[in-house]
Amino acid sequence: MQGLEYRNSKRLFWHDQSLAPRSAPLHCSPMQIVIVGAGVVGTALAEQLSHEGHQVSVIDRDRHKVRELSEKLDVLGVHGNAAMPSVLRRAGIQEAQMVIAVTDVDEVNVIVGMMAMRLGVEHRIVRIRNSEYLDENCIISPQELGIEHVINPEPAIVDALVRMIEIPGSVDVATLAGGQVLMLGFDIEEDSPAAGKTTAELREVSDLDSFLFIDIMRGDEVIVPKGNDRILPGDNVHILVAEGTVPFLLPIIHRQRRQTARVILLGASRIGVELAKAMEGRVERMVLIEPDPGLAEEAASVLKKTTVLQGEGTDLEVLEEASIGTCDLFCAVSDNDQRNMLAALLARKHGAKKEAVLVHQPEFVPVLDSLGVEIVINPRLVTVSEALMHVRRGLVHSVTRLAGSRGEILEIEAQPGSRVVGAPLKALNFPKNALVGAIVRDDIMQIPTGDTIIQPGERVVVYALQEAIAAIEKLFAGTSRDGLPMR
Amino acid sequence: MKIGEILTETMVLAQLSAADKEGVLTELASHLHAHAADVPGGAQDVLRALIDRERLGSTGVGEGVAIPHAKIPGLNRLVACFGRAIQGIAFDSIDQQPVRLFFVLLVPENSAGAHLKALARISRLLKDSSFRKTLLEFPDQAAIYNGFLEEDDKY
Repeated sequence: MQGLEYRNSKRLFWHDQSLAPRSAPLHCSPMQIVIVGAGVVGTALAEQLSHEGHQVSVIDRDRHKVRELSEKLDVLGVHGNAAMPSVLRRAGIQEAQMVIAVTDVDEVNVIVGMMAMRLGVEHRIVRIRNSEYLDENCIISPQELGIEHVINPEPAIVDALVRMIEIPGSVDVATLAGGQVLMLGFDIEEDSPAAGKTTAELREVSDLDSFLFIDIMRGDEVIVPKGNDRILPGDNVHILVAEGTVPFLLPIIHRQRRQTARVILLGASRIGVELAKAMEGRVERMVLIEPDPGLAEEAASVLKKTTVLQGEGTDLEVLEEASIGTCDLFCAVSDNDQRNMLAALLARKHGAKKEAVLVHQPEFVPVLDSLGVEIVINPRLVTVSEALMHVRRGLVHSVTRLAGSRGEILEIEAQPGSRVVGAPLKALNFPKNALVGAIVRDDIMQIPTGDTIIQPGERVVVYALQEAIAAIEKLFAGTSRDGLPMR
Repeated sequence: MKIGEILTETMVLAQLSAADKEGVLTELASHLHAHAADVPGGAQDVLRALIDRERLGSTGVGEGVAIPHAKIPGLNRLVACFGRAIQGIAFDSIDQQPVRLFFVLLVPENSAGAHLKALARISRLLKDSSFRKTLLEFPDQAAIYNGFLEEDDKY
């Protein structure tokens, strides 16, 4: 019997800074934050934000969860129904500057948001998963409900999957600077035109075509290329590239195009249907498998160019009917983790070239990783990431942690008066293990040179290994109001 | 960035006669040199710059399209040239398909990103399969040029 083979390929680890709490606090003043819901998302947020020095209280209706959390973390745990004013008051909502409502029930989250607004809480971040509350047919808009930011991970997940399908051969995708800059990950193969070249040799083309190698992963080693580092077959590389010049980058990485022409989706979940809508007609073949007859019928009525099959994703006959043997990408995005994992492993055994698996339980992520599944998606971690972006609305716009590397990509706004502005980059004592990857000027991504001078207020994409992050943050931070440099 | 700002009708070649990659680049480089007085150096210099770029990775982006481009020291503006080779030319394209549509872009050394907008624009226009099909059907230079302007106006 043939066992499951391990494949030597890197997977996309969902980009997220929350997989482990960062030790270096970011530059925003400590706030009093009320987190409602101690599920996966709430717990991760409580952990991260209390670590960063914020004063955090957490409300949940599960007494055990609350006790566990307040024992483990430096947070105030409050037991009760958060939709009750008395419970919110016990959590200190009247003094809070921010409320993050992430219970499993949209309606509770909405009510918390409304009450927080009435009490004058400045920042109100609310998770709403049901799009009926958000689309044009909603009766009361989220703004009218007093919600400052709605967080909903689904659009971001659909967007990332669409890009992975569109950029053949990429094993990793992140969108930066509002879409102007992409971070792409690739595996370098034996016949890659880039193999054997140093980044300096590629520099002329990379300047012209606006891309930059930001790290090279070779086994356990992470190399931040400084010019004389050679790219070798077997390496996994991360590249920053201007959105418009991706087509020119691909032939440098791969001798032949990796097509993602035949896609099978499992699950007519919201993500499944949105993904099919976005990609049908743009790929050669799109098949959606859904076990529930009602959902399958509903999906078939909105999808024009997708073949909808009603059946189990773990049923070999159904997979055969979907032509699993010629499938380029099998996306298991149903609401059932076990079904997704099992179906993806079965799909691989029967010929799927690449799998993307959505799991809600973060515990499954490393398991899938060790099985060699290329793309692992965890919506809850994406939600955490989205919420944190709103918390850090100041200096740092986004943080992307790279798979298997110790590197992070930070989008930072250079503060007036900070050491990074006004002087050419070569004159700065830029931390080792970090580099300025890109600057967006006049809506165009530019690769900086030693002579580039960063302007105050400019948004800069920086790549840094974790040990260099504190130094980078110092370099970009201005001085605080009382004249003292910020930590 | 409009295509009309970088491409003129003279810079459209309805039928390239070359038979291979280097031949096509030579033909395009000669035409660029002959019809854009401000391109410094000789046709050979343009050709060398284009070939140097190809050496590090083909600009054959697939679907029968190539967008050769290079920096030309001393050039002051973006200069473009379009050529059509109905016969199809092997160009080391990423999809291994012969190339029929060539869009060359010469870039000033201090372009500061303007060429990126041009490259993105060109690849976007040529990404449309129905436009690629019509480009192959246009009878002559003038029709091709007007086709570009019309298509460009759609975006």
